[in-house]
Amino acid sequence: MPFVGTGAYPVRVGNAVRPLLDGAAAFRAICEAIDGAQARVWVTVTFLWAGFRMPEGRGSVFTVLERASQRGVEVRLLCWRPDEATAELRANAFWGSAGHFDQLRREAPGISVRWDRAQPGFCQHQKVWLVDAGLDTACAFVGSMNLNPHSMVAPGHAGAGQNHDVALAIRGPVVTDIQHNFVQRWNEASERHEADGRFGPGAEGELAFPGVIAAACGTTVAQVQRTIHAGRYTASVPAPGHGAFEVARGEYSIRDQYLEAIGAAREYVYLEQQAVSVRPILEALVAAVERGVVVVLVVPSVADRIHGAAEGRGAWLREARRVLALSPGFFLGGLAGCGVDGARHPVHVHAKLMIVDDGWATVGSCNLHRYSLEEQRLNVALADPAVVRAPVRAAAGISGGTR
Amino acid sequence: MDGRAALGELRAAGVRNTERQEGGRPAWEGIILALDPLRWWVS
Repeated sequence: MPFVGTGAYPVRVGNAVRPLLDGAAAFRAICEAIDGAQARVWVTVTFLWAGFRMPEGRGSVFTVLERASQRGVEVRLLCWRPDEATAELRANAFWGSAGHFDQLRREAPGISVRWDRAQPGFCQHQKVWLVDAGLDTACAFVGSMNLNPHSMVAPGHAGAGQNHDVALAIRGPVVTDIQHNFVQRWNEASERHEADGRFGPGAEGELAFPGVIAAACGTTVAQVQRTIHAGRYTASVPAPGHGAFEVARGEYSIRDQYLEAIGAAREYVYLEQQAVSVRPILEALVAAVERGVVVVLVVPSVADRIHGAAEGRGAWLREARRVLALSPGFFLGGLAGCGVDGARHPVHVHAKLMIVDDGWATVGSCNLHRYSLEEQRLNVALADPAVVRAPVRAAAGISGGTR
Repeated sequence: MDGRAALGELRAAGVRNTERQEGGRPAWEGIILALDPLRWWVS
């Protein structure tokens, strides 16, 4: 399965990758990593609800981060600041209101925060947790979970109002590229010079780009891929062991990877997505089923949840979906959970996952609706049969990944 | 079980879970459902 050469980061061997199915397992692993951090914890946040609590009584995310800070760990948070065009999303974001500053002073005075805008009308949508970047023990978590109560759920989805998410726990050389991405964003965060654009003791300082590749510790081949809007960042400092990349021209390696991988599929394509309405990707899926590839798409089982502003428009979309719908090789699935009342409740598929041919996958924060390939996203593509089978088996009810 | 076989089971489970009814209500058997793409997607 081909990776792509159109992004900032190379294909790296020697990684250890573990799939984490749904938010409870992911946030538990994240908290354990933070509790064991020796030097630094860096996080990129899109949506954070005031009522969100970490698992097993750990308290709010700020409680967890401040506890690390009190041990001498350097904690940095990069948060999205919506603009007027996305103002309705402020209710779900930690965007730097006066109340948010009060909360930081009260709950997490030791951490540092910068706010970063996206292109007008778009969203900073990278969801990454990075622990001890630069040390041999460095690890990262890349996925789709938002910090809200709908995400704090387990496979099987016993209950109502649940999201389904997938994340990866990663160690090894690609963690260096995740570190590079964080440094690039931190140093050029749009609000860094504004009085209300930063918080905390280390918020004014810039970070050094990584110069050494993290040591190999596993067998998974992987690559960090992104969507970066042209003009958003300018520093073209190369990732270690790789050539310079003109990030000012934008990066679209996630889109390129999706098209390459679907085009190379021989047996099956398995997708978990909120929506698929990007024209080239739908056309690639149509071409895949027409050459005999099985395509399974698992989406929110209540269609209304994605029939909003993010959906595409036009006759081509209806025609592509009609062709898929009539293809015997196509299966559209949804997920449902059993509530305490014994009734079936729809699960909102919030994962951003694609698996191809039993050996390759991409996982991250990139949806496939019309906003997705223009705003800031981060995925990790990987080649490892042992890793990629877990999500399919879990959805089929055969056996799960890490729970 | 390889991934393609797992997908076959997933499809079968989805159809089974969706079609099975008890007393007019869907019976609980798993988490995967089969959605009708023509109704869900196209209409």
